[in-house]
Amino acid sequence: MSRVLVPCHVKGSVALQVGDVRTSQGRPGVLVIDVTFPSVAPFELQEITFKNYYTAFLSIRVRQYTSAHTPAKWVTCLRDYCLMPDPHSEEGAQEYVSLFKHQSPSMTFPKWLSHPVPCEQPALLREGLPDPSRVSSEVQQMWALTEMIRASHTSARIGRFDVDGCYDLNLLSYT
Amino acid sequence: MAAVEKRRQAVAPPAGFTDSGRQSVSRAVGAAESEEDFLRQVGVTEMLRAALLKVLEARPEEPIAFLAHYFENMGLRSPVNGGAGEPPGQLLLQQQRLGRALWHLRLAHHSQRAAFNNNVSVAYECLSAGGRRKRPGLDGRTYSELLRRICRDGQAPEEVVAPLLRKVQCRDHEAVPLSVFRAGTLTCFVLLEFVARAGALFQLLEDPAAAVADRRVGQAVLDTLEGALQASDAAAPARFLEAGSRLGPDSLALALDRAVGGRRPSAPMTREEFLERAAALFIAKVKPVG
Repeated sequence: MSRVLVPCHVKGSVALQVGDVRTSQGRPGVLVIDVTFPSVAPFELQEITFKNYYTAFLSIRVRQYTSAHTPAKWVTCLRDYCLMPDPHSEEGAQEYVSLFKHQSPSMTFPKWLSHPVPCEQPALLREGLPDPSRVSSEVQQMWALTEMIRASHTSARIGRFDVDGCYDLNLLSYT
Repeated sequence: MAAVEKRRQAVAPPAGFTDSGRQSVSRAVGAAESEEDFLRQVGVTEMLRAALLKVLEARPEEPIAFLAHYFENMGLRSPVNGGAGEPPGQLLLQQQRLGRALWHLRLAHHSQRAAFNNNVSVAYECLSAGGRRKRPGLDGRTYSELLRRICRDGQAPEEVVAPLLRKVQCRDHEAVPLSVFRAGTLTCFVLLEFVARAGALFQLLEDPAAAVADRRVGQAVLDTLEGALQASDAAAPARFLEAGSRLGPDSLALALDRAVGGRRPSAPMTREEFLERAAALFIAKVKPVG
């Protein structure tokens, strides 16, 4: 299988910084490099090669056009990939790095964090069903009240000495 | 009121509260005091200060009505005029104490925790005070009666609150410490709010014409709430996030849609049944007294 270099245009790095770039003193730790592909023909990216210069961690996000009708989506291919084991040492600081397609792992999020798959979402709520946002608001308040009571428990005991749940003095005196 | 009026006669008529200068007061016979002194001596300053402190603590929505109730109750609290009559019977005293304690407990909403705890302490002291024929301390019978009154006055149906009362009431002869008292009263007030929310929820679910809800819908909502309340093994923040996502509008909409889409036929669920089942979810999480 032949591999072809895809022409790309690498833009200058932009610092991600909170506040005014001109006046703030600190140097930011995150830089963003935009890479665009001027050729229109679709391709399957196999490998990215570059030379590192004192970057410790690398994240790669790709904007994918899946079909003509759906808008483009940003997909994270790599997150915090370690290039330098110790950011303060020289190891890995000026190395040549090759990243392959199979290295981007499939993201597994916990079930509750993932959005529902589009085909599962009801496009239109059935007729006659109550407003979900109002129902949700009431139910959430009920949940919060219950959680509060569950959390607040008194360690004080009233000091019962139950014999089979019955505290009758006469009965006790016979046992 | 009688004490104030008697006092006023000692002061000469022109010395009214709304008078402008002090000259008119000093001119009066035997009234060498200024208006401030007068107010202080009759205790009005202290009374008003206590009233304002209560308003600040409770932050009621209707301050004037709150103050009106406050002064009305204060009139009840002071010894009944006419010292000649026989002292009120034990039962009447008990009812008075209960009434006063209830009034204290209702001054602040349970979410205003500091104010609520203060009021709980005052109510507890009120009920525990010794009397001529009463030993100091709060007995289980009075405590249970108080809890029943709280729930009844909160307009929660009896079948709904009965399981809770069974869990938190104390036996007649048991001595109730402050911590148990505080936990029990708080639980009752929180349950009342929970039932109110459940009622509002039922109104969203019900068919206005029939005044019943679709059983599939009601059960789906209750099941979702029950699922969110199941204690998972995760630590607190993750548990809250999971519950939040289950109870969010999208997830609920899915649950409702699935419930109605199934092949089970529609059956009615009454408001009473819905409230009972909802309250059961709450009461299951209440630690019984023991």
